[in-house]
Amino acid sequence: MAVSDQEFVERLKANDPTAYEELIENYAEMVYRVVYRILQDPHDAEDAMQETFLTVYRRIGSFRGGSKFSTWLYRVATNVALDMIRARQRKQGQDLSWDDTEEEGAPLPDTVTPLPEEVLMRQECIALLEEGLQQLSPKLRTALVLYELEGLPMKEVAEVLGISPSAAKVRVHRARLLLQEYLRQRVQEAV
Amino acid sequence: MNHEKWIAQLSDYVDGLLKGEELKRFEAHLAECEECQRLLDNMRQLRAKMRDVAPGKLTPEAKLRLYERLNEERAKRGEALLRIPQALLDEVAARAKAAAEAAREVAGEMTQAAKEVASAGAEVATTMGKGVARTGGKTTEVAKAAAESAMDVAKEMGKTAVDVGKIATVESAEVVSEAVESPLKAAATPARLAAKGMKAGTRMMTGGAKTMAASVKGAAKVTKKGVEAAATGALEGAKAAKEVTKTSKKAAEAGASVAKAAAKGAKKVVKGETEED
Repeated sequence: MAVSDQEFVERLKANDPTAYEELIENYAEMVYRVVYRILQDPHDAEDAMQETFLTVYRRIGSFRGGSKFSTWLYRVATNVALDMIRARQRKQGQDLSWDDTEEEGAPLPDTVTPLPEEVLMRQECIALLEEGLQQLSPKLRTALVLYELEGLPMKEVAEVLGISPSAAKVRVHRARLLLQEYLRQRVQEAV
Repeated sequence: MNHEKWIAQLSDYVDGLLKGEELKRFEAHLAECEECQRLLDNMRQLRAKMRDVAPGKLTPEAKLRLYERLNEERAKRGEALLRIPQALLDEVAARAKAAAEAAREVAGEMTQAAKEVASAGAEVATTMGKGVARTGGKTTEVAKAAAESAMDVAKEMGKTAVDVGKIATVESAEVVSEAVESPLKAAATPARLAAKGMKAGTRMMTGGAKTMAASVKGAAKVTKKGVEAAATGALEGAKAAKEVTKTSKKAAEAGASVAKAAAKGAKKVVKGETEED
């Protein structure tokens, strides 16, 4: 952990209010952005953001400094968001197995049809991508959000998700292929 | 190596994770495989497009509520509270003011709409009075249609004004009294009032749209009946004209009281007044 990170964490542990003010100013946007992309609802995202910061406040003592502070914060945020999805699904009586086929070792699609060039040039491509992200399972969506949208290195994605780097790679790859396939199907439906 | 394996390596290639011999073998395959080349292009373009996907914006009000929530927790443990940046409070207050002004503008438009309803009603009365001598007959049906449409419009406007008034007074009252009881909540009052103001403004605009729709619907009904009346030519003259005039007057009165209520509601949103005020 960097020296400045270390000092910051010590101040948080000492309950220095200015450290918590810096925490909000430096990290609130990032936390909101990540949980919003996982939950895709502004009200849920706000609840998850508040819960993330409350968890940091209550459990900063458990942070040992083995990773960067931001990695730990991402981990707290994604766990809060995924817990909210689990709770939502439990309420709706939905299956909680969460797509076991996505893990390392499960077969990937052996054929993927390339998209026509013009699909990616269309204005509605962004809207379709947003829809496609919603269709992904929470685990795949989270891996893709962390890697593609937050720009975390794969090793850090793995740390945040508590899985191996190769499992993280498989999730990102699978998410990309499924997104591509979703776009292709939607475009075909529109023709 | 089967094709599935090449596809599995696509992501690694795009991410610059292939090295040494593995990289050479993949690039050799890529040089000969059009499908993989296209898939690779797709993946690169998708990555670029993904960056345009909406990130979700943290509003100033949500950030203020975050400060408030943390302070609630810290207060429970007797710990020093966080200082909320003045710039954030100013931004939230400015947005609250803008929301209230928007609500007031909508109320103004509804007043105008009410006047137009009244004026349209009066025109109907004049037209019917002239037409009665020529057509007679189903003029009572026309009068009824005009009356129904005017009352529909007035009812819609009345409902909206009541909704707005309720939101503006009761909900603003809740927020203001909370602020008095709790200094912590006082900091978030502008955010909450802004949220209420925005809700009131939205309701007013929805109500305005519904009112216009009711007006258009009513006008179409009246026109249809008027054409039918002219076609049949029966005569019930003076009675029909009197009925229409009475109805138009009612519509005008209803419109005026709706406009008054809407304006009062908007005023309360702006001032954040309680029910007692």
